[in-house]
Amino acid sequence: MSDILQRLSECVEAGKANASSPFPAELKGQPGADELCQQALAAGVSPTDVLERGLVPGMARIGEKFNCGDAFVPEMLLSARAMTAAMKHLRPYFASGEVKRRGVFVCCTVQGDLHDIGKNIVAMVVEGAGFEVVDLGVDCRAEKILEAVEKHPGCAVGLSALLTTTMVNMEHIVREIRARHPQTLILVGGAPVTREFCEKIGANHYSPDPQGAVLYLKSAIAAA
Amino acid sequence: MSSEPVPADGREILHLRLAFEDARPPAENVCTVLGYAPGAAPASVRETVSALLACDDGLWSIEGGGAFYPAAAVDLAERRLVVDGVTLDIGRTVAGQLARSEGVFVFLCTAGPGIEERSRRLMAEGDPFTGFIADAVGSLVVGAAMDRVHDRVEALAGACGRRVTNRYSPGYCGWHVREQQQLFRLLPAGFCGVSLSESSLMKPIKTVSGVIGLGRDARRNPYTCRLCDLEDCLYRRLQPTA
Repeated sequence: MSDILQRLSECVEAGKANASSPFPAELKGQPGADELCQQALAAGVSPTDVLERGLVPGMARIGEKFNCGDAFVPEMLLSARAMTAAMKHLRPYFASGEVKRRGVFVCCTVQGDLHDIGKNIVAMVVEGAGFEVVDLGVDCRAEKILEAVEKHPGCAVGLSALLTTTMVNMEHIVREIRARHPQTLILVGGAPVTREFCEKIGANHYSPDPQGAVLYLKSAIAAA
Repeated sequence: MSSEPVPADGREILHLRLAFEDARPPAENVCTVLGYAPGAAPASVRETVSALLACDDGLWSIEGGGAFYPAAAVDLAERRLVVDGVTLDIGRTVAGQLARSEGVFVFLCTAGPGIEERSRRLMAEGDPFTGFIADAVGSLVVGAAMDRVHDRVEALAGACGRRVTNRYSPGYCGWHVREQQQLFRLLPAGFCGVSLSESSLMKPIKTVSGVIGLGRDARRNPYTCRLCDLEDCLYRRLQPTA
């Protein structure tokens, strides 16, 4: 069992999604995260072990490399892609409740802003860390976000903006969330966003990269 | 590249269409803006960058240019630029850089919608890796295309005994991005097929806009990131001493 989970973990770390993935060259033609996940489940490995001992450690290692400057966003995305390829086999177990996620992360691009590449990347990496992601899309008003917060009690919220003109809409959204759900963790990000702005509007955390968001979410859950 | 400035609505308008070849960035620059030190990008990244840079199958519709305004006034105290009756609140830094300009060239340059659509499609189809790299390539292409426009403006200004400054854009160097609304009043409607949203978002997204100062004492410097407080910016990543 540990061998297949180890290989699964290595595939996620290396960004090897499936047998036809061309990278890394040394694994060309070999099974990727997609096939290994199916094999593990067919061999009777519990879906929780597949997630917690196979997939999540692989993402954690690429995250550590990112933190050390030994890997960059493209490699994180390759790993997230491999993780996603494997996760589709776990979806029935998430749906049945047999496998628990770490938490729910509601994310969106704020009102007035249509840039979603940063938000999409954060969503993939957060999902790869074991969270359920509820992606509300772009140009989101406070009402839509509040609806999602009410539907997913205890969720964390990630707000993204690329423009200084739309970044200011974060303040209103944070205020609205705080008024009705004061304990909700709110993360903010995007090119013009700074730590100072995050503090000024009363959000919990600013991260310039997806890995920072994952580390914060994990530490917040551990502290809860 | 084609086209020379032509009079339109009382303004001299320059409109260039560029081939991808005129704006193709070096692969190493793409790797640099993705975060990698020279030669350090993994094979997966290098090969994907090369494939995207080799691709010219209708992906690009690069055009740029703008309007020459021979007379413009910079108010250093008020941090404003007044052009043809339009007042732009450009902030202290840009006002200082344009202080010796007698006129301005208001520019716009776009890589077109193709690369943005490709990036979005790749992401939607489950390939965020290539989608992300395509997005970075689009940013560099529009920057390189604008370099060509800037060069042409410099040559045209030089023929009239004037020099050019660096280029400055809303959203950078303390010039608020909402000022796009005023800037667009100085360009022909629908110029280069670019539209501006209420929140000052340009579509296509891979578009740049701004002003270049013109004057006998104007100066174009090779490096200006030190003037800007935007820390997470691809242009900064391309500067070795930034």
